[in-house]
Amino acid sequence: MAEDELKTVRYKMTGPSVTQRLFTGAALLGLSTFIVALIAVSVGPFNVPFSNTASIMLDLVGLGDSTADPTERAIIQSIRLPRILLAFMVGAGLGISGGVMQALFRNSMADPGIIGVSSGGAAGAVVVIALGLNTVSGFFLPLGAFIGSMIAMTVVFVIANVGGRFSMATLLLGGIAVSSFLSAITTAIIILTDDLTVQRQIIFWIAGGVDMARWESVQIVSPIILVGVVITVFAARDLNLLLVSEDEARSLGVRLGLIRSVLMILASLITGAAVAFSGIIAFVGLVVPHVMRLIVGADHRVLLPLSALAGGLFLLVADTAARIILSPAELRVGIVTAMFGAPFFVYLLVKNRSRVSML
Amino acid sequence: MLVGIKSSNVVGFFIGLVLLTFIACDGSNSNPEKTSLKISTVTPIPVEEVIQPQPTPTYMPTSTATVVPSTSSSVSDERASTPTADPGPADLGFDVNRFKDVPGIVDTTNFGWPRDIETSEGLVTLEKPPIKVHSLSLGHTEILAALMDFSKISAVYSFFTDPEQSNIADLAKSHNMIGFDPEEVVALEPEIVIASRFTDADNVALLKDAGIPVARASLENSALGNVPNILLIGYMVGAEKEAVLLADEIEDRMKAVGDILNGDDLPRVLSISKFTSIFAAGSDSTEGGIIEQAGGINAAADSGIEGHQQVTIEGIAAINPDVIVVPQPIDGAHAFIKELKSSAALFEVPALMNDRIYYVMPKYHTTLSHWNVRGVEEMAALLFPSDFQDLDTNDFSHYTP
Repeated sequence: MAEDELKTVRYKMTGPSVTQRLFTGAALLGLSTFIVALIAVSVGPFNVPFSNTASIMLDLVGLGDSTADPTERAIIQSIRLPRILLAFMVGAGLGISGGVMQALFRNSMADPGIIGVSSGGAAGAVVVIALGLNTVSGFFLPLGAFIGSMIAMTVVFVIANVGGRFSMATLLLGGIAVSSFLSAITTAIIILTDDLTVQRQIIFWIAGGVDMARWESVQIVSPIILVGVVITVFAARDLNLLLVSEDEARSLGVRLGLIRSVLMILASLITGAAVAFSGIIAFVGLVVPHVMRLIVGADHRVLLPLSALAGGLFLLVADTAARIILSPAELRVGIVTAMFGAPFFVYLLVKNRSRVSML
Repeated sequence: MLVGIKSSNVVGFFIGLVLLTFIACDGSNSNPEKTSLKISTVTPIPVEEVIQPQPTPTYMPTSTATVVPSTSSSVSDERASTPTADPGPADLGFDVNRFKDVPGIVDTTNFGWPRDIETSEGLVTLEKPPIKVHSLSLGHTEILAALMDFSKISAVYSFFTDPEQSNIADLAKSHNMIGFDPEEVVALEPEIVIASRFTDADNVALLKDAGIPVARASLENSALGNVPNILLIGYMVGAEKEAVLLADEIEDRMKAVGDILNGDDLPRVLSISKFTSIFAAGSDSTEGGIIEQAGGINAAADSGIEGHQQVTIEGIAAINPDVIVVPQPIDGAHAFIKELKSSAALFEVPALMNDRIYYVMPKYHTTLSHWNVRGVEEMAALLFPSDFQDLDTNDFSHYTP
């Protein structure tokens, strides 16, 4: 049989290869992200003519010399661009973290915050707000949130390692316990504080959003999320083996404990960084990996990178909608992710009922 | 067919993308100075609201007031014919006609005891002037503090002591303080509890079930709008004279402001606060009401914002106000003003260009009571400094025997 015929037969039996699926999905999502980003940078409460937007963008990349109004330039350069990038980064981080958590726990209800990272971030942020440190510097709030996330993660890992034997079940249950405990602390601070301003700040931070994005935020969060995503994607093959059969994975040289720990820590770091700069944006980390699994299948070599891209795209779309629906006011992005994402997710679930039962 | 991905999913995906593009293009064409879409998503917690968990009350106090469960406004014929019910205007020392159209007073000719009031919480009969009154809101407590001895107010909540948010912080500091548990209110045995429109219905129901008479009085966003409310509360606690004096003072001070305003060259004023995100006060907000009563145009309401809604720096640039006021605690306010002044996107906004961005005391601008008049006077002086330089802007007095 000729080589071409063999390829055709193999394709019909197994479907497209991992590389084909990955590159096709990445190309589609990348193109869509580019289009949405162009729209996002062009629209907003302040009316910047598209020609001026284009000239400012070209000027920023060193092509041309924009004569646009300084206000228009400031809005594009200092407000819209960092916000777009932060929304994409946070969405990508939540998307891939959700995919990793769902795989490691073999639990479709797992989300990036399942081991208490989000609650830790919220508790850290709430402490910073209650102490008034957020009025001293804008970076104390994300710093507090990130420290809270990391403390929560460390405590849960210590609980899961009690007795020297790491247990995923203990990790999960410990995560739920720590998460509940930290949520109780957050609620207690909200209720016990005398200061209405503090209460408001906490409530709005918890509601999540990227409206306060600055270039500094992007510079801090991007390396953490990008490095985390790249390492996670490289570990996807081992994750596949681990999920098929632990014995088989072991026989192929996969160090199960190490790979689990590394992936868990990476997912937590990514989530912590995302939560630190955006608050708690629910739904993205839970739903995006599900949706992508329904579309591209459960191979994590494809699923994880595409979940990152889709998460970034989804949050970018949601944030753009949040900016323009009530312009010049805006919605919290979490409201938009839930309002538009949930019906779409239900539609996919109903449409793919047979596949859902196998996931 | 696209490799590995079902074509129907791809088509659905791109339909979504096209829809977004459609929405986005619509948004880009909108006039930044006039947005017609009006959807209210009020997010900040009103200062008036008191959050209360709801345990079951365990104490049944005795009371000098009785509650008639029926919402009927009819009073018993027997009481209506009681001669002591109306001692006559000549003996009272205030203009009884001020109470003529006050909603909630059942018999506007009866200035004796017992007396009836009827609010949305039903009919309450007060047998004698109450000496233990409890208010569930800061605004009503501020009004009570002007009408009666503060010692007759059974307790205060902790945030009443915040000098930036409360106009009675000095009085509240040394007063009996309780938490948000309704059981604590029941234990105080108040003769009447005054709830506001922000008070949770379950809390009111718990108090009523425990036998505590509750009256729900309104709190309006405008200083003059609160006059009937002040008269009702004055009637409720037997402080009609003080209520009329306060009402007169409010009207006189508002008239003084109105007389100076000439109605020309109305500045567009934006009231914003930052609580991790930025919020603008649109239509139906206390801050917006104060701006308009002080002769300005509420720029947020003018741009289609209702209630308190989140905005961004870009949104502020789009609203393009002539004046910005920041009614929030001073620490956050100064940092926020600094942030606004350093934002390149706002350099061409008239408020920034003309250095017309001001911190204002939140207690005059966010609490719903007669103290909003101080907010109006302060705002008018900021907007029209030369016109209002001679205006007397004293604080209101608390009750003195």
